[in-house]
Amino acid sequence: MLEHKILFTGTVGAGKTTAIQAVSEIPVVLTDVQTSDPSIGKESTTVALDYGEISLGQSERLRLYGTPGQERFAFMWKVLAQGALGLVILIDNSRPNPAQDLALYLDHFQTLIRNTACVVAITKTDAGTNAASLRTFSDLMQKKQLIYPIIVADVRERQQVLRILDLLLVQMEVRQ
Amino acid sequence: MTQGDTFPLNEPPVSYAAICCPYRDLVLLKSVIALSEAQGVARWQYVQSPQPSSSRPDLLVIGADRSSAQATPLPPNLDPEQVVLWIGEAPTLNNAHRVFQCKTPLHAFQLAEQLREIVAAVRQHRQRSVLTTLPQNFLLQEAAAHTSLENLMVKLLRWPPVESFSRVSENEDRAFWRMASMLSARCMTVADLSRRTDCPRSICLEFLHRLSINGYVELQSVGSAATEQPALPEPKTAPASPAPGGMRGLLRRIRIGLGLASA
Repeated sequence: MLEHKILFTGTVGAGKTTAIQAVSEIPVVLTDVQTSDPSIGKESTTVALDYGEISLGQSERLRLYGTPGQERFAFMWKVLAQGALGLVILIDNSRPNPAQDLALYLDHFQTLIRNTACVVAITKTDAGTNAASLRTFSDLMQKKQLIYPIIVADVRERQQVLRILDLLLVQMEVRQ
Repeated sequence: MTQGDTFPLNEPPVSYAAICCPYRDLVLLKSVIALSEAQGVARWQYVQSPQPSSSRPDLLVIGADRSSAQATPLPPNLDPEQVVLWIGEAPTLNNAHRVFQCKTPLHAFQLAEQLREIVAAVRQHRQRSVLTTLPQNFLLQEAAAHTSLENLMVKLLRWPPVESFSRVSENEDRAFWRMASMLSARCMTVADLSRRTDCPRSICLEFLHRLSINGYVELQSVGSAATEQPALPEPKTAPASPAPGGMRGLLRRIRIGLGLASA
C-alpha cells in the first residue's frame, strides 16, 4: 500500500478535526479527551492526532493527519511532519493574538514548508474581521521572508476545505 | 467521457432552455444533462422557457418539432451570442453563430459529446465577456506593452490582500487565487501563468496589473530572474513511498481523489 500524507496543524479549536472530517472518505479517527483547561473553550481536545484518508486507488491512499494544537504536544509535530507532502495551518482568528499563533507554527514547521507547500487558513472570522486585521498575517510572513497563501475559510464547508487543498496542490505542481 | 473531470469550484451553473422539443427528446436531454453533472462536466440549471435577452440562458436547445406554435428564434432572428444546440437538420448560419448540432433520432452518446463542447463554448464566452469590463486605458496599455511583457518574469513579493481578488465572477476570483498561489511557489512569465491556469493572457495581465500598482509583484527580465530565482531544494522530507508516475502522477491522482481534477 502506497501512502502519502498531508498535515493539518494550528491552534486549539481552529478547526483541524472539522476540516479533515469535511473531506475524509472515512469517519475521522479521533484521539480526543475531555479537557481540564477551561481556557481552551472546548469540552474535548486532541491529544495524539486525528486521522482521515482519501483513496487514490486500490493500493494507494492519502492520509490526512491533524496534529494536537497545544504547544505542549509540539514534540509530536516534528514526528508527524516527516514525509508530509504539505501543511495546512489553521488559525483561529477569535483568539487574543492570532498572528503570534501563526508565528509559532511557521517556526516549528519551517523545514517542512520551505521544502514542500503550505496554506494558511484563517477561521472563525466574523463581521469584526477586516482586511487590515488579515493583513497582519501577510506582514508577519513578509518579515519571515515567507510567501504562502493566506485565505479565510469556514472549514465546516467541504468546498472551502477543498479550496485550501487546491491551493496546496497548485504550489506542489508548479515546483515539478 | 473521461472520469475524474470536475467543474471548477464556485462556477455558476450553465443555464439552458428548450423549445420545440418533443417530450421524448426533452426527457432524454434532461437525463443526459443530469449524467453530465454527475460526472462533473458542469452544473446545469434548467429555465422553463427562453427569457427576454436580458436573462438569456447560456444554452438554447431548439428541438426537431418546429411545427409547434412556439415562436422559434430562427435566423436571422437568432442572437449570434447565443449558444444553440440544434436538434435535426441545422439551417445555414454565418460564422458569428455558435450552433451545435445533434442529428435525429436523438442518441444519448451524441448528445453527451455535444454537451462537453457546449460547456467549453459557454466558458469561453464567459471569459471573453470579462474583457468588456476591463478599463479601456488598461487594455491599450497592455496592447502597447505586448512585446515587452512576454519577456518578463513575475515575482510575488508578498501575499496580496483579499481585495485584490474580488472580480466580476467567482470563476475569475478562483483563477486569481490560483495565480497568486503559483507565484508564491516560484517566479514565472505571463505566458506560463496563462498556460497553467488556462486563463486568457488578458485576465492574467489584469490580475498582475492590480498587484503591481500596489507593489505586490516585481517584474524582472527573464535573464536576470533566472539567476536570482533560488533553485528548488531537494525535499528533505520526501514522501514516505515512491509514487508511480513520479510526483506529477501522484498530484494528479490526489486531485482526482479529491474531485479537483479539472483544475
